Amino acid sequence: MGNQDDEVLVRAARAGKTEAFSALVERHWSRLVALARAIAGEGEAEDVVQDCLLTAWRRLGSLREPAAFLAWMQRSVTRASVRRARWRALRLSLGSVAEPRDPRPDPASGSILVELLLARLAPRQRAVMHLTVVEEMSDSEIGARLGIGAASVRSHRRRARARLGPLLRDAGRPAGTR
Amino acid sequence: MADHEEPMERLEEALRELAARPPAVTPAAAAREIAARIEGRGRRTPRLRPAWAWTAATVLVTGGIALLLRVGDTPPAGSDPVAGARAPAGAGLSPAGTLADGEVLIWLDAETPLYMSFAPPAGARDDGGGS
Repeated sequence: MGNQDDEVLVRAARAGKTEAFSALVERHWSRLVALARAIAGEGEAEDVVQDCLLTAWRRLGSLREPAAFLAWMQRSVTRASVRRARWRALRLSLGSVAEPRDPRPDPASGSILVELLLARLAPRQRAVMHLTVVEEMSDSEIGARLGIGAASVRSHRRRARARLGPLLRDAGRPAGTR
Repeated sequence: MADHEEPMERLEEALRELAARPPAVTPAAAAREIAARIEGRGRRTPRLRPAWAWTAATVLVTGGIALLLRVGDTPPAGSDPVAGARAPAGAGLSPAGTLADGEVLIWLDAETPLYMSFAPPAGARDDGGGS
C-alpha cells in the first residue's frame, strides 16, 4: 500500500510536480532522520537527510523502480551518514579532542545512554545495529543498504555486540564495583 | 534468562526509543524547506543525462587519448634525439639539419609540426648557469 503510493508520487515528481516530492519527504522524513541519527549523531542527521533528498530529487530519473523509493533513500542516507560520521571522527582525531564521555549507564537512573554507547561503535556497526533492531531488516537487506555482503553484516553485528557487552554488563553494578 | 541477554535487550529497547524520538524539524517543515530549495534552483524536472552528453564525453576522451599517444610516441633508435620524432612519410619538412640546439620538433600528424625551443634563463646565459 505504502509502496504503491510511493510509486504514484515518484512518477508525479518525475513529471516535475514538487508537491508530490514534498509528500514523499513528509512521509519518510522521520524514519530517515532516525536512521541518520543512529549513524551520524543528532547534530548531523537532519542535514544529511536533507542533502540526500535534494540529491534524490535531481536523480529521480535514475530510480528504476519507483515503488522502491524508501529503500533507495535508506541506502543513500545510510552511506552518506557513514561518510559523515567517518569525516567527523577524523576531524575530532586531528583536533585531539578528548575521548567521549563514559558511556556506561547511570545506575541511579537506570537509563541507557544509548547515544554515548553508539559513539563507541564504528559507523557501519551503528548502521547495522539500527537496521537490525529498529528496521528489523534481514542481513541481505542490510547488506544492500550498506553495499556489503550478508556475512560482513553478521561480522559487524557480532563486533558491535562484543564491544558493547562489557559496557552494558556494568549497567547494574554499583559505581564502586566497576 | 542468561546474564548477557538482559543488557542487550535493554540496549535494543533504548535504540527503538532513540529512533522513535521525533526530529527537531517536523516532516511538514522539512517538506516545505526542501520544496523551497528545489524551487530556488529552478523547477527543472530530474532526468537521466541525455545521450548526446555521453557521446560528446566519449569523443573528447578518445580524442585526448589518441593525441597523447601520438605526442608520446618515442623516436626510433638512431634518430636525432633533439628532434623528438621523425617527420611522417610524405611530410614536406625534415628536422635533420634544420634544428638548432635546444629546439624540438614533434609531428602531431602528417601536416602539423610542433616546434619548441628551450633556452636557459637570461641571467644564466653568460656563465652557463653556474655561480
